[in-house]
Amino acid sequence: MKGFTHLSVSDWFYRNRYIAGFTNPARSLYQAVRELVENSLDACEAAGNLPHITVDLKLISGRGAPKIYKLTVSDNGTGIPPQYVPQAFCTVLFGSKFELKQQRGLFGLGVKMAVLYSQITTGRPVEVTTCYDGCTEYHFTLQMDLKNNKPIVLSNRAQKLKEPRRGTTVKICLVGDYDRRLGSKSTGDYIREYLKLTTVANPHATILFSDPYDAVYTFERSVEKLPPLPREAVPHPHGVDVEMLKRMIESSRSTSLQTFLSKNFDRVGPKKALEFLKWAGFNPNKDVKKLTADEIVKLVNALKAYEKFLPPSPDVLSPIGAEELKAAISRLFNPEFVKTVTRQPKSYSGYPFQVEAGIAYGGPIIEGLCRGEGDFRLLFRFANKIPLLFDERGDVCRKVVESMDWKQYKVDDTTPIAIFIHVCSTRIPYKTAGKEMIADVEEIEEEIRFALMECARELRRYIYRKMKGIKEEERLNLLKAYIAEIADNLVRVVKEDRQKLVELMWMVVTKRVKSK
Amino acid sequence: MSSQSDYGGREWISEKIAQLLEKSVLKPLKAEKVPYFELLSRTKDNVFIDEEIQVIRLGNKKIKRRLSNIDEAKTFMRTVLIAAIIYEAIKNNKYPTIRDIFYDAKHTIPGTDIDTVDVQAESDNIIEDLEVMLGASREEMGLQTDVKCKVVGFMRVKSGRDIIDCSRQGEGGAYSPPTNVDRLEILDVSAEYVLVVEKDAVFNTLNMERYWEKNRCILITAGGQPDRPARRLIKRLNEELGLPVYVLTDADPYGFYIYSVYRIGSITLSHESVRLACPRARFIGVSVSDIYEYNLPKNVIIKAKEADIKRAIELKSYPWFQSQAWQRELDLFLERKEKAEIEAFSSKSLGFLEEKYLPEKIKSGHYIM
Repeated sequence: MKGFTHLSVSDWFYRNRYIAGFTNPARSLYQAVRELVENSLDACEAAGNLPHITVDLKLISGRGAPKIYKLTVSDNGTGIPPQYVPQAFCTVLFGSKFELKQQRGLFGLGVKMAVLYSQITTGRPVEVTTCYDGCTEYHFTLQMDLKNNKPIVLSNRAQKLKEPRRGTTVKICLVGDYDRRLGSKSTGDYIREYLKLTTVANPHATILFSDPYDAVYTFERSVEKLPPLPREAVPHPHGVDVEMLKRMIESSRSTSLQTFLSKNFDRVGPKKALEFLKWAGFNPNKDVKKLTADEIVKLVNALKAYEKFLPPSPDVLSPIGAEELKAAISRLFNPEFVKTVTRQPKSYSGYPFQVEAGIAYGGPIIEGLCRGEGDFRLLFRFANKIPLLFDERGDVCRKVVESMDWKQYKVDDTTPIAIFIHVCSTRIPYKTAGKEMIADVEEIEEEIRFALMECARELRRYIYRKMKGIKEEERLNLLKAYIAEIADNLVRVVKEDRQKLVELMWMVVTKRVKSK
Repeated sequence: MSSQSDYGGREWISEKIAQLLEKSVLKPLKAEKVPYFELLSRTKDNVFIDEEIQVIRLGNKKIKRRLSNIDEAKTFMRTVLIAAIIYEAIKNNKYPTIRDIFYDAKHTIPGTDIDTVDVQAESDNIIEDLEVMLGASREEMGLQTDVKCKVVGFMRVKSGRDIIDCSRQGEGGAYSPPTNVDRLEILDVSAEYVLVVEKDAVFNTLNMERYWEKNRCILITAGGQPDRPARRLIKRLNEELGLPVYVLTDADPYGFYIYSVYRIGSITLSHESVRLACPRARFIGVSVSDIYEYNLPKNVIIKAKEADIKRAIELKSYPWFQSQAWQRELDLFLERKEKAEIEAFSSKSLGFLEEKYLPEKIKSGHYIM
């Protein structure tokens, strides 16, 4: 990535804005919301605060094209130390370092892409208000020096706070189109769905959204507990490539191969490193800095081929949690039944990953959504706690959903169900640069299938019991009618109180039902 | 004998109905238990041949009709309903037909779209259940049926206040007994045997020819499947008066089965066999071997149908078809796969049946059992 700094940043952006999601005004608006919200979520989690994020989108110049919007996103996160604010918002790739972590943002660029897009389309500065220490609030207006990839500070003032608080508010102006339709939905629909689903994948977050028509949407948190922060991981030997290894060697001190491996790789200790180097035919004492280019390639290939490394550490992952996911689905979709599951962590090609799934059944919301879907099962996908709203048809999740034998689970084309699938990993294997489609990695596919089967089995039990319950109700109704008829005729022969007979008969037949 | 009893004497049955409901329904309910009716099963696996009296009898297998079981509850409900109808009929001195009972019972249960009974077979079946549970026949209950039975011959009977001479029924006329044949008083009989004819048409022919007069017999038919009055009357003539009984049917497995019903009873009415079956009834013909012995022409012999073959195989396994004679007949049928009607004898000459075949066979004692 370092190579990119030699390019003009604006050139780089123009060449890459498609893959970063900034294609047309409609999609760019959606993408800008995403970047700011995800940035805020990261800041809140880092601060250990339950996220409370407000998103405000207003049309400020709407006559004729292009439409210019002002987007304001506030959070209660860590805040940013004032000395870093200009670079944090206006220097692309600032602070981004080589790391392997379950993270939300695309490319680790986050908010800077949105700022860049804002500046290119409107020329207006970004406004940042932040409080890091809890008592002084700093207000910046910033611009990017695109040519030199440096921030230009237009204004900067500080203000003592009477009430201590932390957090950051970012305002950008950008060309967008809230009402334009992307397929069957408008940009606004996508933004609202994105925010709503973000609170499914992040049940501890509350998001308020005020749209250009002043409609306010509130997505309240469903749990009061913060998830553990994902730990930064060192790479697993199976997941390394030549470029990565080169950079790791560059940033390393001069040391033996054995020490280098045991210090920089996941699940590799000195013993395992020695074992491996012997197997691969390397001298364990060789200085890592003295490896030739050919030797580096040979080492990478050997690292990938060696089968005795332990699987990658799973503790770098931060799943949503089955209970939390269930709480969020229940709150936002209010289904009749919901089953969620978090699978054990697994790995593919040296990267740990974990699959979570949920199936929600029934209730007016899901019934309504399913009517809109036609014969296509309602599916919500998440990768590293970010909802994926586009390119569903090419996704491995869709592939698994379509390949399941749903009839076996008493689910037919008219059964109202919504399926939720979350994949978290230190590296999500996206199919395309658009990062909306998870690739058909066999290990992931299998885990998704197992997770769905687990939920579906529970659903089948529920549907079965429900159907039986309806039958039981029919049975009791029939018995009730028979009992009335029997009582009518009994009193033709014996001297008994009809009502008393009805009550006795009803009692004995229902008592029997309960004792079954 | 109940034939002597007055028709008003049905109170014991209404008392039994009240006792049945008390025991099966009220008592368990008061103990907060699920009420049920229990009765002997009238199915093939619960019948046996009583060697001593040579009729079909019910075994000991009992079935329950519980109120709590949704399938049994409907039958439970029908049982109470029809028991109440019969109870009131007795109380009000009414003599409904079993079809009247069906119509009286049939109504839509309030709050549902379900009828208490849909077809008469259902109410008839309940009446038979009640016969088993009450130990009383439907005739004793005073229930009337369509009587298919016709009788003609030198016999006088007293029915109610009337004396009927069964030999004075006009040209081709015959006497039709009441539902409850036990209420008939047989005054005098001047006959040597009873000839039971399966088919109404053949009965009519023989009657027009005054076969009964020429051969000193009593001629009876029930027009196919025998009804209870025919069976009861035949049994009485056989057992009270010692008249031999001969049964004449078509030469096919259906005819043989009808004979077996006269002789040992049927599975569904096995609870009534002791009253209805006539174990000494003899099968006079037409037998399968008669077809060939009498050289019936090929064109009157009928090719057996699939159903006939099936039925013959079934009959072959019934305990009451195990005699050598019957096994031979059935084997012959299964071998030739041919059958014939009684009327086939007319192909030899009109009157062959009554003038040659029947007198010859009865005289020679050429019957099978």
